[in-house]
Amino acid sequence: MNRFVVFLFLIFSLLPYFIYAEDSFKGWLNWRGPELTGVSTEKNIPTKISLEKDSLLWKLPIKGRGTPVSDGKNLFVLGYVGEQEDLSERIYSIDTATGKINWELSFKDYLSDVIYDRYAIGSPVIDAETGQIYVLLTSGQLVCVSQEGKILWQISMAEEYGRNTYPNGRTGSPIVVGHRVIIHSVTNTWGEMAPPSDRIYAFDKISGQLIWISTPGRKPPELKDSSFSSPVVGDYKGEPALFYSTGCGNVVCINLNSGKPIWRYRLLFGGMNSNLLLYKNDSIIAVHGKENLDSTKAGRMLSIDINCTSGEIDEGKFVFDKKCEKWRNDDVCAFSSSPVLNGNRIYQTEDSGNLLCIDADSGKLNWQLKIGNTQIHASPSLVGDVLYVPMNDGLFYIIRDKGLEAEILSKVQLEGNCLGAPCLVNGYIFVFTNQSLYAFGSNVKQIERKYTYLVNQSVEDVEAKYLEMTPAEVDVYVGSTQKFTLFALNKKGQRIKQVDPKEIKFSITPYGPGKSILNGEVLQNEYKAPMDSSYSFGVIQAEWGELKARARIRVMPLELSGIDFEEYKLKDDQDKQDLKYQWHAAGKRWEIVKKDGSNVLAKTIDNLILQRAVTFIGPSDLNHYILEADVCSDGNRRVMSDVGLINQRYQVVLRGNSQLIEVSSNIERFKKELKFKWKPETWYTMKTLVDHDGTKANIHVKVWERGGEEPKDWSFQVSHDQGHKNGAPGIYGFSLNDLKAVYIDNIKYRKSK
Amino acid sequence: MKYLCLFVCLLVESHIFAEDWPTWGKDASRNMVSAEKNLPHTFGKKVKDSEIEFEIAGDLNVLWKAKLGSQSYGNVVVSNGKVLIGTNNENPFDKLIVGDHANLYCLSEQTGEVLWQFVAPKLGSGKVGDWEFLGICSSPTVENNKAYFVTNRCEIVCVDMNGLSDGNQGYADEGQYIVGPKGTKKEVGPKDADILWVYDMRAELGVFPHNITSSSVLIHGDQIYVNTSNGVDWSHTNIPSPNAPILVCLDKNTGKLLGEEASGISEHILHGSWSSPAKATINAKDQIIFGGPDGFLYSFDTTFTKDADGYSLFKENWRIDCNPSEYRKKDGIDIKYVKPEGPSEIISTPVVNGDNIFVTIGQDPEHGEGLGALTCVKLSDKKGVLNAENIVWQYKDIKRSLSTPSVTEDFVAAGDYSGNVHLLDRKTGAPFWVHQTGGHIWGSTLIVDGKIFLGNEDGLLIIYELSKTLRILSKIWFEGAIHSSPIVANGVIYVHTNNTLFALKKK
Repeated sequence: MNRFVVFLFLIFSLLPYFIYAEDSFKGWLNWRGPELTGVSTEKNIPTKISLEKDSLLWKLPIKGRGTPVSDGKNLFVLGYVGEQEDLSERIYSIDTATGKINWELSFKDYLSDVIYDRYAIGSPVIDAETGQIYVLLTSGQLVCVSQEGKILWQISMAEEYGRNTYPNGRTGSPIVVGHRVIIHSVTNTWGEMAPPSDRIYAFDKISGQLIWISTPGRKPPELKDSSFSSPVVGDYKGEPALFYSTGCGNVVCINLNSGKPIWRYRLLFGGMNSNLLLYKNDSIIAVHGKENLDSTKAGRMLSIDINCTSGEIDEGKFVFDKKCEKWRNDDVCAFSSSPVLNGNRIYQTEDSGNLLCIDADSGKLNWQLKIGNTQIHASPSLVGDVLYVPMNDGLFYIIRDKGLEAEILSKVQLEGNCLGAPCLVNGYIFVFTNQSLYAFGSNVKQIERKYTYLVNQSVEDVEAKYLEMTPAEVDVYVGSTQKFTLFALNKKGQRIKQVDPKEIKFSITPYGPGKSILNGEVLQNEYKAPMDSSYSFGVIQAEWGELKARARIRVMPLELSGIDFEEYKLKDDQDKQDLKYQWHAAGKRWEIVKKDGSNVLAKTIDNLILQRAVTFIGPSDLNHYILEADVCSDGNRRVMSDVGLINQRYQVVLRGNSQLIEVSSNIERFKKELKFKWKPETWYTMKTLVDHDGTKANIHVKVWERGGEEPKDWSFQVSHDQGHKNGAPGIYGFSLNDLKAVYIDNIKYRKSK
Repeated sequence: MKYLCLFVCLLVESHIFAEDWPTWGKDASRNMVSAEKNLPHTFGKKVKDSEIEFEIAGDLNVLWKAKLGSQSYGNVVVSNGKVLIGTNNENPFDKLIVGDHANLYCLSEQTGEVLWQFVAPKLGSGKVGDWEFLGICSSPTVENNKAYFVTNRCEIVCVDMNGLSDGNQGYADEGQYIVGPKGTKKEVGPKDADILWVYDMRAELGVFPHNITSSSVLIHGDQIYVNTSNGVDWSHTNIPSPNAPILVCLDKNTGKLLGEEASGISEHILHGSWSSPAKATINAKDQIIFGGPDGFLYSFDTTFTKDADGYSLFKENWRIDCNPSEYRKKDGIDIKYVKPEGPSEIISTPVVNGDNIFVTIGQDPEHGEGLGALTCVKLSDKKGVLNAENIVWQYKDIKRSLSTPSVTEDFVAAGDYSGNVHLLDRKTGAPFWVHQTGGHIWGSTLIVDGKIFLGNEDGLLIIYELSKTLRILSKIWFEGAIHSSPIVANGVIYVHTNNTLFALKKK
């Protein structure tokens, strides 16, 4: 071999490791690609693949149900590893060329209803400006991570914003728009947000502080499901707008700058999970696989005129009517697979395993190809006229759109089920199954995205149209202070400048129907919570000229010396009163009643959808605290109910029908039981403590008949490897079938010494 | 005389070959095999350029069609000139009742016209206990002009087959029942169901139904046997009512509880309980055969014993695991439920034929595809846990199945959720052929007139020749998924999609 050949060999063998940084390189930063349409603009993605070495670059034993994202150099994925107790979700940074793991972060599930290892359905998103990675975990934790793998901030959506959990584990991908990171979830919190609804949240992508919450959809009974669709970004009457599909079966449009709902259009009974497509910036294309409002046939694809004016006002929001539909196709049925849009061609895999090509202007079918028995969440991606189609059964197709028909170019059987979409970047195809992460392609010249690390670096329009106050909602401890930051935004939603607090008039204003006034005081942009208040809530308003903003505040005690509910004035033994504390998910689930001569908290038994209550009563950053309360269940030989406490993300429950104490944190992941005989119509005192020794959480429980002597020793102690280090105190009640109420009284928590 | 003979012959022939289908599985054996003859296998209109494919959108051999709701899992029964079918309320028959309800239609066998309907409000528990839009999923059992079925509300209900057109007998508060306990009482009329009694299994037994209450009632003398549908909660691990019975016996005349299962089956529920009981007889003694939510097949006596508190409890004869041992454990460790290679419950119905019971194992379709087994069990008068000696054969090349097998003297036919149809040798369990239909299969096979009928989720009804060699006679494309099982009654084949019932008859 001569020197020149050796030189060429070296050059070509090292090529993958010469990485060029380009500003214009788009990468595959979010799960639906650069334009949120499932389309890659790259040209060198292979059209034939196999499981042989020359095609399968690498494969990692990381399980996942979402979509990898990449900036060219690195791949960022949400996956999971382990079984049973040691299962954890992990965020990985992986070298695209070699499959080498740069770093990984591990997170354990807590207090979720997720079953059957349905983890890692969501996908990370990379911020194009800073390179920061945002992930919504299955537990509802929203995590911001640096390129180097450092956690910059995290929010426990369940404990801090009342996010609901569902067995299906369907957790969507955040999106980043300007200075905001945006997610949506079904939540039920406090005040006007007490009823469950599919709400959308914008957080400051740098600080993690809340910018706004919006409630564009409906509460139950229209709200039936969660939804894991990601919002798409467009323009509505000259201002940026977000469009997404909700768990209440609506397509909604909201103003990005304020979060204010603009319109909604209800398509179906049930939740809508597929991503929307924005077509020609004047229509939204939506698809679903559930009950239509006006047909007994399930499923529909349709196009909606986003600028439609036909409809009516309902609860202050504009609701489109049928005249806003441009077309509909009732032969399409897709429950959660998302469509691809290329030019005027839509590609959709539907429940029955067909791949469809549909005309985006008319909704008419161009062609269809049966490629499986079924499809669930998995979605195609596209380059040019070539589709990359993962199917639920693990078959991964490469299919060319030949105009009037489709041609299968390649097909491989992957191990496990495909539930996400392929990531197409830099000549690579990355695809997840619930068994492995696959990388196909060949090492070619790599390009990586160049991050500016600047946010809103150039703002041309400096006319202030909106006032943005962060945090827009916050829990403040008794006796502590909270500062607020205010920005002026232009019409495009860009931050023009930070407003000097001296220019702003702050005030505590009456809140809600009860005209609640927040205790404490405001000095410029700083709120100080009083020392002498246990729970308080309300709003602070900021006025800057004609522009206004507000923040919702709850004052939370760091320690609770004991709530006995005697402050409620019940008329007689039959009287009931609503709970007035602004606890998450407490409304309609708990009420104050008289029992055994005193006021107590009772689980409501008049609405089956609320037969279980998981209610957080304190801040989520507490740790190493003793939580105790008196508890009781009605019952007989056939039926008792369940009652308990939540301490540092561990649910400690007295199960009535099973006659045991159960400690769990997601029952499938971590559950320990102790047989324990307890009687109906009898009060018990429960005391719990969780301490973390650096490697494991130790959960201590004792239960004794109220009035008796407290046992000296803990009656039940369990440990959880790498368990939870902090978490909000809470209460639990499950009156199955609404037959027997449970009661709680004398709730207190304090830091353990 | 010649004509009289011919008339008598015709009369005899029509009598022989025409029979009702009054319960799930036709009778207490649950074996979906009919002796009817001369049935067509081409319907609708022929698909262009195909010899065997048809679309139902035509009138060839279509007697009538009836619009249903949007989801219809309740299978058809036919009795005494009436057709009963469960559906939801998305195509409201009574325009005053709108929104999500569960319906049972009683139709004219001749025309498909709705004679009356039973309507139940949803429980309002969400997906965990009464999944939205599922409707009445139970296939009723009809006897002596009364129909017995279970509702979405976890109730056992007995109705008069004439509806309220002949007055209100028994239970008198139909107007309140329709709107639920909190609703404003509705005025009822002759097109409403006449409820004779209602037994609420949640209130009376503490049952916690999972997703939906569904099974078919078995009648034995004055007794009826019913699966309670007790199950897990949201966590799919916690069983809120581990002490509630899985199977109960009521007096069919009064709806009074006579006995309840006390074998502790609820403690071992894998998910939900939806299998229907069957009846077998051995040595002149009747046994109730039941496919458990733990994957075991059970036999119970039809007499009960009393405990110290006066509760009347079932006597278990025997049980046998229908999961091959390798589905339960690997290297001594339990294989997790729902894993494709893991254990399953029994959702289909055990079929009693001769001295054998045939049963498949499977899981909720939401759990996906996985390993299954079709087991031929020797009917036994032993007591206790039966061992491998009582398994005649076990066929493990079938996937998870919701399908109730059809058994003839020579064949066993069954579908699996993965879309395969299997035809096996009745004596050995060896497969003659397996055919992939291309869509998931929820329903069961019907064997009649030398043919096998089966529908799949793609809306495809496939009709095979019943022979050792695979031969497809026809494929009929319906508009919408078929989640049900074809049946035949009085010369008419009934097939329904989620939103339409078709009565198919040779013209």
